[in-house]
Amino acid sequence: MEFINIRGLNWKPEAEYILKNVSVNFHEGSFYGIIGPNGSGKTSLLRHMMKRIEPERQALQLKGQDIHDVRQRDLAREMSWVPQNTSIDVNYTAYQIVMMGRSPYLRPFQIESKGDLKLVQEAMEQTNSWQFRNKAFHTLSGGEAQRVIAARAIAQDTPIIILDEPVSHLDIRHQKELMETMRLLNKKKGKTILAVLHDLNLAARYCDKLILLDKGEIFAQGTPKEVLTCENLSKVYGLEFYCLEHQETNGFYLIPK
Amino acid sequence: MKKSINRLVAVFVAAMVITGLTACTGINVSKPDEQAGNVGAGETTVSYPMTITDSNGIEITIKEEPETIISAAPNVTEIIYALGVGDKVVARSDYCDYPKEVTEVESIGSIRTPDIERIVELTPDLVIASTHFSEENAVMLEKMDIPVLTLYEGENFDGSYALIQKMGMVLNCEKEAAELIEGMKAVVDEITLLVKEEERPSVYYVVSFGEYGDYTAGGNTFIGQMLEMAGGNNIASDIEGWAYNLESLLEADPDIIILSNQYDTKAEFESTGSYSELTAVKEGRVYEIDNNMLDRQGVRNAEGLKVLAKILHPEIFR
Amino acid sequence: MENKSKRKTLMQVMMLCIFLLLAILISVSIGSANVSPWESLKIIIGCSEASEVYHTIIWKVRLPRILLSGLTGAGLALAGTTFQGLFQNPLADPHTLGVSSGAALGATIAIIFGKIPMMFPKMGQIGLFAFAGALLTTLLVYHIARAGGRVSAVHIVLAGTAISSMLSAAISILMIFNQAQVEKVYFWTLGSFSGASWSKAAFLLILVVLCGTGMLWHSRDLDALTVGEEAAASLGVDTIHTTKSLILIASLLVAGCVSVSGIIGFVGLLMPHILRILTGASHRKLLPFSAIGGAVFMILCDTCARIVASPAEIPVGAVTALLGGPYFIFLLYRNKKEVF
Repeated sequence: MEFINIRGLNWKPEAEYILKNVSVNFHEGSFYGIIGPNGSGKTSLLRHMMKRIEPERQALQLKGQDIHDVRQRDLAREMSWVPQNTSIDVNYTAYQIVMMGRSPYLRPFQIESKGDLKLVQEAMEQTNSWQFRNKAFHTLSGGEAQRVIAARAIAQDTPIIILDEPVSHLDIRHQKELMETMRLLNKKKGKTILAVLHDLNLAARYCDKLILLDKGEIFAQGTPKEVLTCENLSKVYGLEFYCLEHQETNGFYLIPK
Repeated sequence: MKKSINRLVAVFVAAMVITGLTACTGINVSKPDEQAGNVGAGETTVSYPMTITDSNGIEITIKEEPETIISAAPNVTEIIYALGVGDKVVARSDYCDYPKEVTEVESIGSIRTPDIERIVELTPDLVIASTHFSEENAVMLEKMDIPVLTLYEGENFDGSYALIQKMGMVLNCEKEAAELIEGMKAVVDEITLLVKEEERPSVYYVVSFGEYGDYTAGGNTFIGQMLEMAGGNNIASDIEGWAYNLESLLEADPDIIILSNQYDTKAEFESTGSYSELTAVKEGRVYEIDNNMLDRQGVRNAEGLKVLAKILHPEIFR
Repeated sequence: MENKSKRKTLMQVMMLCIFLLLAILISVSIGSANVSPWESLKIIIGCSEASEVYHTIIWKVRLPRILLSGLTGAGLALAGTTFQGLFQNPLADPHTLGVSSGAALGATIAIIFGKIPMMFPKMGQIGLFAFAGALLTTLLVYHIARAGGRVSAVHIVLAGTAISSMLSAAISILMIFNQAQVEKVYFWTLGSFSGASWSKAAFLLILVVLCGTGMLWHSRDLDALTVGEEAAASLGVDTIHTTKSLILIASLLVAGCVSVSGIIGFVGLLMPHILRILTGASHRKLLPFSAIGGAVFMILCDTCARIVASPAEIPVGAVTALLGGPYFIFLLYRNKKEVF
């Protein structure tokens, strides 16, 4: 089922087009990777999907409904967001941050239910952050903080999880952990994952489908094998790549020449 | 009858004694080692040029008898007119409103920020100022050859007399000044005598109240002294300065309350919150007075004292 | 974990309420009038035989004043807490948006141009004009900040600062032309509860309860906004609408507080910081605790203002600054990173 439907999306905030005639459909239950060079419009595309930027009418639909007509609160029940980097100087505990993920479901004076508490705990256990739940968020390391933010998105219990370069600031171990968690959520819970990724290898390894953006336009979309061809990559990145296949992981790796 | 004889005697005696009074009034007019033309102690003949040290400690030289004067303070204006030389006033401050004639005269603005250019343009022989006139402005005018005499005396009747006397000397109206002073002294003495044996009602003087804070005349203020001299018992006599508070006022519950006759003060006071609980308000013993008579150091202070006494002891003046 | 923290919260609530009660009792028993603390308490309970005057002093002068100062402290603390969260700025306080300058201008105009037939004599004319000035300023700031389309925290704060300066300049100019009233204006601006009355206290009570409830209603939104505007949006907060509402609610509360008591600083700035250390940053707890903390602080400051130089009174704004200033510097020095 088509979750997000984008048709002919244009965005020209000033003199130049940041997004040009973007058309793509996101289907339920897939793991999507959005890749491309800096300035290709990846983050802008995400922000349109999250309604941070208002797209033109008819250009973006969520579950068949024009996104203009979707209220912020309802949107938050459909998609959650893991940003690149969160620095919070405020004195919230990790637990409180994750609990904020339940706010789309809670009315103003409503107390969190046992169900909410359970969801939060599960999300934190899944991301290995339960053990420091009472620590102040700003005292956490980068990796720990990112896991807490991911837990928040999981606790938000939405069908779609959107991630904007979620692992750029993590060390290799935490990168793997986070991507594995996302894969698990995708395979076991059927969540649709949309991740903007810089690392082509991660994209190749974890994503079912890739969308390659270049200068605001979709250059290619399809399976990793279809998209990550040497030809595409050299055109978009201006580099030549070695392409290696790896039996154990059934994936392949790209190394610039 | 008895009172008027007393008054005449007082004036006569004063006139005889006036010649010797110069040194006692606190004026620092002469410096024995100054150049010719200074008024020595004990002499009553005014002569110009005159050197006088004003209340800021600055020596001012007045070259000749001033024919054009600018008054930069309401009390100064009152004195000038009372001395009979009001026609010499070419300009005044915004606040000078007594006597009425002076409102016809041009105004050079407020006391703190007067129109310096206009003052210079008018080329007065003398500018007389009081408190609030800034030293900077005085210095600036001095530089442009306009003498600025800043005068203010101690906050009591002696101060008022001293001020009148100094001005009388500067403006060559010593005789008129002396008469004014004697007149005032006579009134003061009369009042003092009249209220001496009377029972003293407790009294509170309202400077401000309510949202503006409670301020009154403390024991060391001129008004505070006047209240006592007029035969009253100032409930704030134990404080210095002007700051008071509502609780103390309510607690003291004075017999009589005196306030200004401007701006509907009385009506507001009586209708504001807790003030309506005061006995004096409930029993109609809140009286208005022209506060300018009390605030402006000068010729109307004795009159003010008399009004106070009338309020405090109406029976005496029947 | 939940039970332990619930108990801890309960303890904290009780402690603060006890402090509040103590503050009120201490304040009631101290003053310029010569009524002993014990007698004052007896008057409140109603079993005193002291003269009528003392009953009047306690019931009509002291109690309404204590109530008014407590409510003002609560109101300012609530507004400060809200603005700090809304603008993600630890230095924000109730006066950030220039609402207080608007109130001061209104009060100045009332003091200078005085007598207009009073529609609400019990409220005091100055208070009325101050309130009107504050409201108009709020609308003005809001419209200017909206000019760019989206309501952004930075824009609003900048607009408020600019307007605040303009209004202060207008006040200065008015004072130059009305030097006789300079002292009165200055006295009002410094902040004082000397004009307190039961009707003013009732007015502020309604305002504090209404606006406080409005803020509590948005406590989750405030938490989300404090973390970040984008994060808040992703959590379902309608950032534009919520920011608008909270600005209006908080400014209304500030308008009310400033119009009854003049401009009192530091309470709105400090209370959130102090309480945040105690209760954490979650606004559901922070808001009510700030309110009570603000009330206690202000009652104690006003009591100091009343008795330190008795029978004279010092402006309560001076006391809060004298107590608040050094503590604020101490806070800054100690929490170099953890400003929030």
